[in-house]
Amino acid sequence: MKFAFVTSRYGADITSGPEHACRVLAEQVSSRHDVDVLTTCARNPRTWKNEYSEGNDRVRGALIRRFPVSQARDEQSFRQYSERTLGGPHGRADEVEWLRRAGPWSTGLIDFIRRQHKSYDVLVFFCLSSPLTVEGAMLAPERTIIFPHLQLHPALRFDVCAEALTSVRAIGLLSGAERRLLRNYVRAATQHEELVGIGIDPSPEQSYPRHQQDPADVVVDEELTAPSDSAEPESYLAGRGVPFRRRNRLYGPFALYGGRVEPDNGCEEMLDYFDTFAATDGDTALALMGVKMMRVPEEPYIRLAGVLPERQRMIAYEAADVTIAPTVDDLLSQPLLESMAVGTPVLACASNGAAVEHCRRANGGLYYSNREEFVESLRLLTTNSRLRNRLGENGRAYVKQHFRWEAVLGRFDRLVSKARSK
Amino acid sequence: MDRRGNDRRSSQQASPQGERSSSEVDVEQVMREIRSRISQRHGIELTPQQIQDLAARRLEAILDPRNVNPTLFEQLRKGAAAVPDTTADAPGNEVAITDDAIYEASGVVRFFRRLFRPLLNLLFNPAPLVAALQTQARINREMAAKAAERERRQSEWNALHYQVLERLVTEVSRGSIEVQALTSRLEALGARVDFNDRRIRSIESVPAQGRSQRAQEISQTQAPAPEIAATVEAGAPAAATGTGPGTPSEGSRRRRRRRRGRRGTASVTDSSAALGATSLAPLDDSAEEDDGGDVEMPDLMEGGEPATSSDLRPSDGEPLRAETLPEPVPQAAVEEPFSPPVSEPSVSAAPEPAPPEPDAAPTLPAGSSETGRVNS
Repeated sequence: MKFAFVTSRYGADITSGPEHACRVLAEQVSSRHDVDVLTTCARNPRTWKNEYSEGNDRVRGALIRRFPVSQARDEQSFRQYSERTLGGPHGRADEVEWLRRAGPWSTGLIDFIRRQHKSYDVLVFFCLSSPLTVEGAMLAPERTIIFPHLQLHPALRFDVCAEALTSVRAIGLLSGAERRLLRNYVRAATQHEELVGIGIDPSPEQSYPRHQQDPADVVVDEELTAPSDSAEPESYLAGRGVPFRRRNRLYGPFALYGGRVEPDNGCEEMLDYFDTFAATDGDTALALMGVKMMRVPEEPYIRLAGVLPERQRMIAYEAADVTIAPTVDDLLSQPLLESMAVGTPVLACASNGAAVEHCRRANGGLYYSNREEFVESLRLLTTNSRLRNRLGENGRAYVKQHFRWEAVLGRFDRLVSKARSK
Repeated sequence: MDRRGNDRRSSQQASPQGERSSSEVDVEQVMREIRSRISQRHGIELTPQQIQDLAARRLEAILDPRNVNPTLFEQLRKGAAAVPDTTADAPGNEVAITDDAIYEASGVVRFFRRLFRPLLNLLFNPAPLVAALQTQARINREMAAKAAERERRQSEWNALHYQVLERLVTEVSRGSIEVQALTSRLEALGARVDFNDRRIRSIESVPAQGRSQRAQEISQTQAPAPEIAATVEAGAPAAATGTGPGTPSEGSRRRRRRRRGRRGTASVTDSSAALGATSLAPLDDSAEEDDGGDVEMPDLMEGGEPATSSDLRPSDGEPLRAETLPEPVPQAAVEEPFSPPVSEPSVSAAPEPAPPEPDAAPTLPAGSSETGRVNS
């Protein structure tokens, strides 16, 4: 089969959102099918300026076709137009115009779809709030799948959005929270829908349960096993995740955050809460792994690990006692799933419905909705090793069962078959 | 052993989850326990469901049926729970008005209308009439759509308002419960402070009562004692009592003067007068003979019979507050370099006390208490 994946931007440096989901899915699907990725030359979602070069390129099996953005985003005029459109009565033309101004709008990409859509078996669009999705999906709705990546926004109530969702053959979802939003907020009667998500592949070194790496790490009932006085305390070098610990001089317990360190990701709140926790628990550190986009307080318990490649990222998750997932609107919850995949329990923000759903379904992590819950949960996770191990095992089994790429691609194939069924 | 999984504090912070022996972990149960622990720390012993019920009753009290239409309130409640219909109601019974619509009929009438239609067209032009009807139909359709949209929005707003109101009331209920818990805790702490004050006073008073016999004997031989009592009753500085003959150790005298000065100038100004000369005079006299202060506690604990708080309560029934307690004297001020151990305080080695300052109210360092000083 030949697929066309349509997304607003595409690149390895985009590590979150629907564009990231599009990339990882396209790379996986391209191993079995022909995949063309139709995207723009934009990289920055605030400006939509053309930064990538126009043309075709093949990356990891997928053919990338880039089209220039026709109109860069003017923030001020867009804000004024938003106030006018979202605040008062508006018609369909206003909604289309709002989406175009929100961007990115690429006439070349839409023209290409209009001309070439018959050469593709399935068109897969990502992000409902993109004008490319709303316009492009209506060109061949009978062969179109939308991954809407729904988030609470006034634009979700646009008639054009509901129209696009009801017109296309199938809807792919990235989390159960998105499904609830689709049913309770948008209330669009879709033809077919399937919860697909994205897959997590821990590297082979981390594919087995970390607690069973050596006999000392086997989960045992501590009440039944009397501690031996003669046993030498194991060197920290014998544990897993040692490279990360050694590089960052983490010799005690620590919590890990993986992602962009910026206020929009909930980092400000997390640092504030952790400061409260550290006031009563002085020996637990907080390691921040990712690009630093905000001012981080200079505290002795904070370690900046920087940006790490995927393999080292998994080692870091493995080394951590707890992974904190403070992001509020991360439907993919990739750091959470990666942490669960290596058996590290998570502490997620309760505002993120997708993360809470993973924690509940997997029984693999706790969640917080305020400072006290954060402190209590983190204290419980750092002090109760048995609970931590149980949660880690549960999370690992959950990811292994539901979020291996084989399972995810199976769900994707099922969605495609629904879309192609008459 | 899991190096990361350190059990360094598990023994001292054993939690309910830690005792869980089953292999299954229920995250929601763990979260419930965490939240209940937080609530208990706040003094709230009600479950979230109980708070919700309480809030529901309060909400009904706010929306009093005597003032608000009960059916309206019920509609509001149902509207919040129900899923509003987003699809605009299509106007029903829509009649398509065409040019022939005004000639529509059945049977013979239709035949005659058709027959005379050219004549009718000659007499008047029906086209504007049809156009007006079509325009009216379109306006009706649009208005119906707008009304449906407005109704949908209104129902959503109603649901939002109801939810906001409900959450506000819930939070207010939770806050009021917390305030009640804090108030009762404050009262409990106040009672403890009162009890401690009485205990302090009992510790101070009991030896004096025990020694009142000797004090009376001394007062018979030494005249100034009644004068001292009278002076204290008149509100004079209590330090003046130390000027009499038979002066005990100078260190203990200095401490007593401070206490008196504190009592005389502290916020509870009436307490010294309320205590009365009868209670103070024996204390002062006995103290002049036998050193009180820090070294009285061992004697009291060994053989002294503590007085009840009711016996030692001031005459007006108002206990002394914590801030009225005397300033603790540093150990160096009490124990002189050549003084014997604390249990055997030296009287002769005490330094000469400074002259008393009646108006000077010594400040009490934070956290100091008479009890702690005595027990030390």
